[in-house]
Amino acid sequence: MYIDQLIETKLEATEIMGEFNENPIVAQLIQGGKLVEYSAHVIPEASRTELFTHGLLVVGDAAGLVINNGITLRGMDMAIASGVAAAETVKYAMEKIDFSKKSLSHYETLLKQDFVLRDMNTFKRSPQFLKNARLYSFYPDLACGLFHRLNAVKGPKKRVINEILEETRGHKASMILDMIRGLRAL
Amino acid sequence: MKISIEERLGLVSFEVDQEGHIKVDTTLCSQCEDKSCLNFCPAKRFTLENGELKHDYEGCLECGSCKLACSKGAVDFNYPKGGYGVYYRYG
Repeated sequence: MYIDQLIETKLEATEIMGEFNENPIVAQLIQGGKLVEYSAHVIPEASRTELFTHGLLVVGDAAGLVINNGITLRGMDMAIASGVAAAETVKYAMEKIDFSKKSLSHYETLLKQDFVLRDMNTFKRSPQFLKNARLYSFYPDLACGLFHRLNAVKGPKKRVINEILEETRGHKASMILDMIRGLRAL
Repeated sequence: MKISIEERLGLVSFEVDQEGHIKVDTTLCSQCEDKSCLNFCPAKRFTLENGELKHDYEGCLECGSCKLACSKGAVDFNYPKGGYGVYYRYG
């Protein structure tokens, strides 16, 4: 969860995991389990500043090299690859005995050759898209509402497409926009 | 299955330094209306006592959210000195 969303919704950070654990599906899976440790971590998504300057290379989380594409949250692979690239760059700079910003820009070249900066670029719209509150309230409710319409034993049923059209009444424009944004972002 | 935050923190190992790694400028807190730190800190290290903001660096999980999210910029958070702070056994 984003910290600003946490503040906006006034949710207690300490309660989020508890609520997740109480979800009937999750509760069933962890039944009889024992909590062995409690931890918290901030993931610095989309906060990339300069990756290098005179005498300095920034890697992994510190460089904001994290990708959230809505399904997977990647950081470990980016940390490893940027660490390798940083080591290669240090080796390169040592050979020239030049640790200037210009020399260390070799780091960026390596990250562009490898997947790190290419993937960051591919998913650059993803953080903004995933901040859309409709993804976490409106769409799950819509899915539940639709299945309720299709399965509830209550009066005659319409054709599926008509049930969908009815359930999404008044929201189609924003849904189309979300879909376009989603396709572009993810 | 509700487990209190105290109980949860009891499962984590800490090596407590004499000197705190979090410093709070409470003169700014007295002007702060939302006091969102009371909610967003996952270790509940910020509390109100008689309307005054108190913080406890002991039991801090070192996530750093207070450094990032305090709207008044009143929190000076640094990682504890080497050898001190939280020890995670499972990651």
